[in-house]
Amino acid sequence: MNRNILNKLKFWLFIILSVFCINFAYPEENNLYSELVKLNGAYVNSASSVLVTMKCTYYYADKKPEEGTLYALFNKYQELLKIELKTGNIYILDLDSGCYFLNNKLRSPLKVSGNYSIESAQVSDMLSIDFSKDYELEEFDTKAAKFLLKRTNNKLLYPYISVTVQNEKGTGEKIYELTFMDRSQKPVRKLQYTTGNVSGIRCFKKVVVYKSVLDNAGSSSYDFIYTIDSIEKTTVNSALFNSVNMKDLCEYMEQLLQ
Amino acid sequence: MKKYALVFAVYAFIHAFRAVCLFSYDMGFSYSNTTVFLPENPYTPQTSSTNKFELFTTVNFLKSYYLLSFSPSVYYTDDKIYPGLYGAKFMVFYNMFSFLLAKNNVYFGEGIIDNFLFPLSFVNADQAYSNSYYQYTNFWNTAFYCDLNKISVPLMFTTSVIADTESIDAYKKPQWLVLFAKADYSDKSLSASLCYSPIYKNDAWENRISGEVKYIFANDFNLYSNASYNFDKDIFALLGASKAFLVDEYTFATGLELSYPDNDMQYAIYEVIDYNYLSLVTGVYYVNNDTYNNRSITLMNTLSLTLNNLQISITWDSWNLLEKRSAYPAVLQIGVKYEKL
Repeated sequence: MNRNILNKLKFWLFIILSVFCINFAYPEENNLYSELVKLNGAYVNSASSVLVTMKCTYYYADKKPEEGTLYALFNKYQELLKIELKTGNIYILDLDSGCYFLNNKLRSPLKVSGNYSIESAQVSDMLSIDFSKDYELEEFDTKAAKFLLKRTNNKLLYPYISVTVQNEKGTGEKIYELTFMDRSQKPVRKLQYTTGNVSGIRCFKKVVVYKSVLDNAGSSSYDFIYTIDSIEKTTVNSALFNSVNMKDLCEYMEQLLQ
Repeated sequence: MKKYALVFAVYAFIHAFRAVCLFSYDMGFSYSNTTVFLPENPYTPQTSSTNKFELFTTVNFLKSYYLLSFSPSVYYTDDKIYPGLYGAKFMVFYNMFSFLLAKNNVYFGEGIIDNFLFPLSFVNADQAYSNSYYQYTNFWNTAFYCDLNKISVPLMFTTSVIADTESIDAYKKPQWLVLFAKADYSDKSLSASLCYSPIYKNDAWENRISGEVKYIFANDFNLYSNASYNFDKDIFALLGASKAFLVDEYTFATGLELSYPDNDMQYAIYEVIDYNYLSLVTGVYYVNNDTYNNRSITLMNTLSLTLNNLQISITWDSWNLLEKRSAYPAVLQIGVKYEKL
């Protein structure tokens, strides 16, 4: 009788332990994806509006790298980006209704595709991606800590993103390597997101944009790198986030930056 | 002397007010000179020139639900100094609604040689075209916006009234009035607008319907078309395409436009070259000129230098390249402007 209970106990203990071990051996299916969304959610689609300050470096093939500063104001998934250049400031407003461009040469905001370049960087790489709204989980490779995201909206440029997760050497940080792919899943562009703590918030601290999909290291292979300096909670009226009010929104952002 | 004392008092007041109430303020100025070179004739002088210098201060109150800004100015023209209002803006916004009452820059639609979506093209032609920051005036207008994008519907509705600001500034009855109701659809690459506008000019009302479709391809190739129809069966239409290229530090934008204003055909090709602080807009258009009753090729050139908030621009429009220049007028515009975005 006693042995029977003991056997039963042993059996259940084995089941519990094995489930526990499986959990360790194979991470839960969308754990890494939900972590990606959560880390990105420090600014994109976060509960309150945030003002993000970034230090960036532009890399050139034939010139010395140049330093710069970027500012981004987020309200839900909407984003206003300010790029400081020596020839004047450029503002980019990313909305559902399109991407708008404004500088001191234009009378009213100009709608653009978002795929053109400013210095050595592409505008689409400077803007943050909303992984929870624009992409969904397509495939998950449990063995290689790798997953595939598929766009939910046909208007997005890249239909697929392949994400590989690694641990950074020396530090306990994680590196998310994002490979943007075309319709036939051929790699087109590579970005690397590194986690970190900024203003007490856990988020993606550093983003590296590679020149080509194949290059891996060395400053010659970078297009553009930005590091987040600070994240501040702020208030902004969401009504300002449209193309008509863009100038006022820029003015408001300037006031926040002072 | 009293005038200067008044200006000084205003500045002293602004500074004193700033100490107790939080707001931002800027200063700016604009200078413009327009010289028209007329063809040789026995009646009028061959060149006529106008100058205007305006100095203004902008005071901004920007809170999260309203915005108030005004720019009192003094301007100098025809050897006299006048007080004026360079611009003003009052805006209240709540969720997807906003209301605006302002004297500011109004512009929408596409087109370098013509823009038939923009109803102001039909009353004040020289203000209509080109989205460049130099050469524009501020208009008194009021508007009500309803932005359904906030509830994930890609539509926006605008109703607005634009008034003849030149007359209002001279304390006269407005000579023209533009009313419009507009619906805009917009997603990442396609935008479409439909606009209904009753226009009051020459003591009569005219009804117009205009529309525009624009498509932006992923490689920044733009295709756009707008058209306008009034109920007297006049059709105005424009078709254009442009593409931007990037070569080292230069940005080139090449454009082609086909315009059909009122039983007439115009063709234009233009090039925009941007290099650091400099930008050059140059183009030619082939036009059937009614006034001179023949076809002509017109040259338009604008060279501008932008140093942060300082703009210097030189525009040269000559009427016909094929004929002797003395037979046709030409316009030279020089503008200097310092204004924050």
